[in-house]
Amino acid sequence: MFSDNQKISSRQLHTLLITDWLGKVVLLLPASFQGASAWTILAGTVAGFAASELFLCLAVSVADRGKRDFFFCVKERLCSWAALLLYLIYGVYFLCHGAIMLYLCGRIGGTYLLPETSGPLLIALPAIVGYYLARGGMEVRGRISELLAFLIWWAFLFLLLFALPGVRPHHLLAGGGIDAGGLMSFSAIVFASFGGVGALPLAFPQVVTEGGKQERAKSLRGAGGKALAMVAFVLIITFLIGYGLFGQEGMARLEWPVITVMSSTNLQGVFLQRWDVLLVGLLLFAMFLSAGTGIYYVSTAGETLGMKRKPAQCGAVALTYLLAVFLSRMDGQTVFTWYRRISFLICVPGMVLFVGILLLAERTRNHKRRADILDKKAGDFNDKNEAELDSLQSGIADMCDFSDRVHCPGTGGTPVSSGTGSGCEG
Amino acid sequence: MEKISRSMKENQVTVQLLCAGCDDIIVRPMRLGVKEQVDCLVVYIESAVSNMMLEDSVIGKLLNHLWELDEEEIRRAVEENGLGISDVKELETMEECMAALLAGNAIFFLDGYERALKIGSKGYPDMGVVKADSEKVLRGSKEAFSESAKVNTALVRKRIRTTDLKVEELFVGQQSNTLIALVYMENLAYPNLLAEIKERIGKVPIDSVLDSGIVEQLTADTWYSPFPQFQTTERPDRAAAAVLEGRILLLCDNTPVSLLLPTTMNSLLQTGDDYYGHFEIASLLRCLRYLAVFLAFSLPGLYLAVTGFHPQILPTNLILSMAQARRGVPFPAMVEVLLLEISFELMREAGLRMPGPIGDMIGIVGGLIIGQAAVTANLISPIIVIIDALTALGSFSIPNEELSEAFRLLKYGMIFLCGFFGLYGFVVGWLLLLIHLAGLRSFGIPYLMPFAAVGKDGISRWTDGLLRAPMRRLNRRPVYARRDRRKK
Repeated sequence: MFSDNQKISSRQLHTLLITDWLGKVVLLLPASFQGASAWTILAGTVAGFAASELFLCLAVSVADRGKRDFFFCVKERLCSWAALLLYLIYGVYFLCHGAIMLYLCGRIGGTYLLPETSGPLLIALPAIVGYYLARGGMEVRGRISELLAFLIWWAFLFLLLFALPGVRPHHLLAGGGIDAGGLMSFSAIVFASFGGVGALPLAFPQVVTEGGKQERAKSLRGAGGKALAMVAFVLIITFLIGYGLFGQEGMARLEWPVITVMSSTNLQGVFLQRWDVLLVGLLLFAMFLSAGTGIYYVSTAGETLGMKRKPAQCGAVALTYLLAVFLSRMDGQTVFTWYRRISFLICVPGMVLFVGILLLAERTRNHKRRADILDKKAGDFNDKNEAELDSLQSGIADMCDFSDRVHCPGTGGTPVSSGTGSGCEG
Repeated sequence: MEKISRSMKENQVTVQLLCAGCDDIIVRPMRLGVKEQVDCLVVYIESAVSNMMLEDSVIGKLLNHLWELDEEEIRRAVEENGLGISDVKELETMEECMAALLAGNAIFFLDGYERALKIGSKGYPDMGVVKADSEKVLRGSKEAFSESAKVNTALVRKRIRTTDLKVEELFVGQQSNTLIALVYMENLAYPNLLAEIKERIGKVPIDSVLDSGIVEQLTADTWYSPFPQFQTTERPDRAAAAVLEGRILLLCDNTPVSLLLPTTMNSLLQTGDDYYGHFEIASLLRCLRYLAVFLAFSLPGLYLAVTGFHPQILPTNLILSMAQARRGVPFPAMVEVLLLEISFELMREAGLRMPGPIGDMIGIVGGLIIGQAAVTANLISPIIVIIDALTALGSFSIPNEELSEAFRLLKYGMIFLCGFFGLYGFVVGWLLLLIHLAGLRSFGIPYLMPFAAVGKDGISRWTDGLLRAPMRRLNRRPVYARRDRRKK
């Protein structure tokens, strides 16, 4: 009655994005770039973050002009095939996202918590949670994130800070300055990791904001921007602490640096002995929710393509689960290579391309509309002038008619019909 | 709808036909008046109406007075209520008469008068206003609701003396015709919420409503959820406070437990005296209650997860002492936990059903003697007893019994998840619970408000949620109140 189903606030969007990105970014990014100096990575993160912010602004400006379903907006601006292609890209992106999150949950769970449990079973549990979450729709996802995002973020940050006493500053300074090639490639990876920004127009129609169009755009940009900044901040802290603890070479050898950072934490006088288990627990909360996001959007894409809700949801979870199980049979490095290829090299550039095309289309349409308006105004102006001229001429004709009823001095002609205002024949 | 006849005889025949076989219903014809006597008929349920001859009863006074009047004066007195009886109402149909009779009133018919009078009397026997039993407070009123909806509305009105407080009466149950009173503040409650509640109650397809719990189950948004979607209270002061927040109070006849709707989990974790004491203490107690929820739901599971899968979290000395305590116990930890939990549930159930002193004895016999014997016999480890006792303490510290029961039930799921999957299962269990709670709504209000779906207006989690702000800072009504009336 009070809560409008399937609508979220911009604050909830902000928290949703934090939970979506946090687990993936802190797990995958430190492992995906090894061998560069701390400064290169730091600068790369900042550059990638800035590019993501810019992309976010563009995505907001594309989406905000239509509060309807994004599919219909694209269809209206481009064509149905383009809309279908874009949704296919989204579908593949979120399928990969969901599958990699399920795979990561299984992998992390299997490595650090339950080494003897079978992989498919460990993947099935987050798939069930993801399905349950996706079934609840946007509203439930928003509420859960609102409840947990800050809790996870703060707890994560505190846990990382517990590792601070072991940091050796000389490790941070080692490895030289900023390498331009490394900077470029690392910023590209950071940008691609936040590639979900390009899919935000999908969620925007469901975000309720107060105020007019300007306020809405500002609110959406703010929600996305804050989430990006918070996750990037955690990422930077993770890097700095990891480098401070293990140095450049040590970091290069670690598969999951963020977890190893925690396992090396040893606080005096504290009851608990192993902090990495707690960190993994926290990460799992974020990753399960993120897997739910993937499943939700795959099912949404299915629904947009004409499937009914329940089969779409069941199909999405089954597809994501099977893909994750398939990935779990492969070597970790191969999985990440494939993930990067599909997600980072195909889907994210595809989204960037579409956002660009949509912006261009919108701009062209606006130009055309403006030209039409100008034409129309000019036409109106001419019509008005003609009408005024006519009325002036007829007035003169009337005057002539009234004075001698024979001669029309203004035109030199004879009045056609007196008093009707239709003018004089030349 | 059969109209009341002018003829006394016809009315008497109809009433006797309708009440045939009901020996507890007294149909008493009489002739009143001094000179020209007039036929009258009084119908009442024997034990629900005072003895007519008693001078202090309304009917006694009425009949005694009518006895001394002429026929015309009797009619005039009845028509104009010249006797000044407060609880009297004119009825026009036989159905109304029967409904009023079965509600515990006396019905008075007069020959030549085509209406009947409903005369309120003492009503059905009940326990009266007693001390609150299940929602005890250290500070504040000790009154509890009685089993009569009428008395209960009076108890609320006693606390909110304004005509903005409205009471609407409905009858539910095709056979039982149970009186349900909806109490609300007209200027605070959402009109569409009220309409929704009435619509849902109107749709209740049931023969009898013997307790408000039946209404609750039949009108809940999510019927399969174990979580209460209505708040129950037996305290009029709490009900009045809720009504002043814009919520709607549902009083059901024959039950001292009233329903407050809509509700949120936050409301269920508050107690009456949260607002009577200092905010620091109230905040501490609220935090403790949230901790109690954690313990009641997940402590046994967490124990299984840590000891069974991740003992490396704990200090070595603790692990060693735990291992020492478990030495010789023949069962796996999960079976041990389940055994003790089920034994505890049995003890609780037995203690509830037994009369007071015997119930206490069961606690002593079960908790102390059997527990001690089981530990001595190496059937269970002492640590499990501590864990279960802490879980039980958590469960009892949840102020709302229905909420506590929901967590008690779901705790078993958590035990299995953690028993099989350790911390991984713990995360799964908590997420499934939170997703379920996030999807719940009570008449449209999200269950997790103000922790999730919090609006810019209304209370926040820091002012009247996990903590309680000082009284002078509590200047906003929660989300239940109409948007334009949220500011106090």
